Amino acid sequence: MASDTTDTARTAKPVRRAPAGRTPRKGGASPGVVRARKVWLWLTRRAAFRNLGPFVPVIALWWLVAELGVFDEAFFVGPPRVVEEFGDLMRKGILPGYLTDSLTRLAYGVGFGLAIGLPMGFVVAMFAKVRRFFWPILLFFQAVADIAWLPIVIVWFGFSLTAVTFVIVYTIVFPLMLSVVAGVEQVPRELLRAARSLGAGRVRVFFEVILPGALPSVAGGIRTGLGYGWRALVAAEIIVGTSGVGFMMFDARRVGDISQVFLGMAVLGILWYALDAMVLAPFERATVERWGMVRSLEADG
Amino acid sequence: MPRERQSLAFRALRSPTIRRLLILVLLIVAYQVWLTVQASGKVDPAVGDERDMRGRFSADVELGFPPERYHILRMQKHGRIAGTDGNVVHLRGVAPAGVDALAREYWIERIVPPEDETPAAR
Repeated sequence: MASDTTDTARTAKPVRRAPAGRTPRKGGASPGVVRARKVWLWLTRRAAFRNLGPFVPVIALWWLVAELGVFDEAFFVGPPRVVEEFGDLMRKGILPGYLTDSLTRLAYGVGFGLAIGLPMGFVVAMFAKVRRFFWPILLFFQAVADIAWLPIVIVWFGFSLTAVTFVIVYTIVFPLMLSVVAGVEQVPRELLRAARSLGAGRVRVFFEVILPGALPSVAGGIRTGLGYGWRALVAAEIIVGTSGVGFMMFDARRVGDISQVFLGMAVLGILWYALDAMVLAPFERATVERWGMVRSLEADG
Repeated sequence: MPRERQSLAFRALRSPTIRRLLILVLLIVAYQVWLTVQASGKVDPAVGDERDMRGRFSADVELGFPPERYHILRMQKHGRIAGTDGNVVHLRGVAPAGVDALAREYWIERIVPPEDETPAAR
């Protein structure tokens, strides 16, 4: 009997039951409700809807507040004005030009930041003496905000690309190093001992055990570091820059064109969201799925 | 061995992240190609006919709108600003490479020789 029940349960189609505490309405839901539910289900399966849908109420609220005239137009503009400004700045080449400058600076900063932060992080994590020496310094500079460096950086490098790059590199390096150290610490000691007992040398242990084991944390560190770097870029451009999206926003304040400030914020948010969704989040997910899963299974086993 | 390499490339192409990055790279390349294409025919053939001892010359840069601070700063990289007149910016001491670089800016409509060029104006 029991097996019959199980077979029936396996072959029978799932029946949608009414939630506990509710009695199904006579005749079921109306066709309109059913159709709306189907449309909603269809929409929630679309990646575009999942990614862009949450912004719809935000933009609607922003539009509504602007249309109601809660704030004066000199202080608060709505989406149509920002879209109009976007078209104007694109036509005049200002937005692409400033965007190119910002992204070039970010690329330099990220490149140098990763080139310095990753190897230094592994060195600090793996050598006890180096770590004992560097750890207090690491924590000290982690606490000094990037923006605090701007006055002295301007004195050293002037209003130049070097000054902006310095600030971005500084912002990226310390969180990245701390993530690398945390990642190396998470590698199970048994795996290291097992690899060594099987005859693996230092280099092989690093590339086949430590590096993959630390990757989930490193990926998280890169994502966080780049996020900080992106914010630092805007701050540095506002103070140091003579071009870039941050400069555009600050310069717009000077001439009282608030729509450019709104546009700058929208562009920064959209660009970061795109970069994170396209590259950083998949990279982090992939490393966690590949290496994090391996580690957790081994820990469970 | 070559088969393994091929499968790696195919695997990479199947990755949505790599595909998105490739599309991004293609868009950037297309934008650069478009900048080069639209630059052709923008510079008047008479530009650079009268050069100074350093091989530099004057040029009038015509925009589709009155120039703003951004445009003046960009043009200053390639020559001295001798003033503006409506949508036209008068540049002095421009090198041939500067003219090529300016032609690639899509917001510049035409680059012509100055109408009233005199040695003093240069």
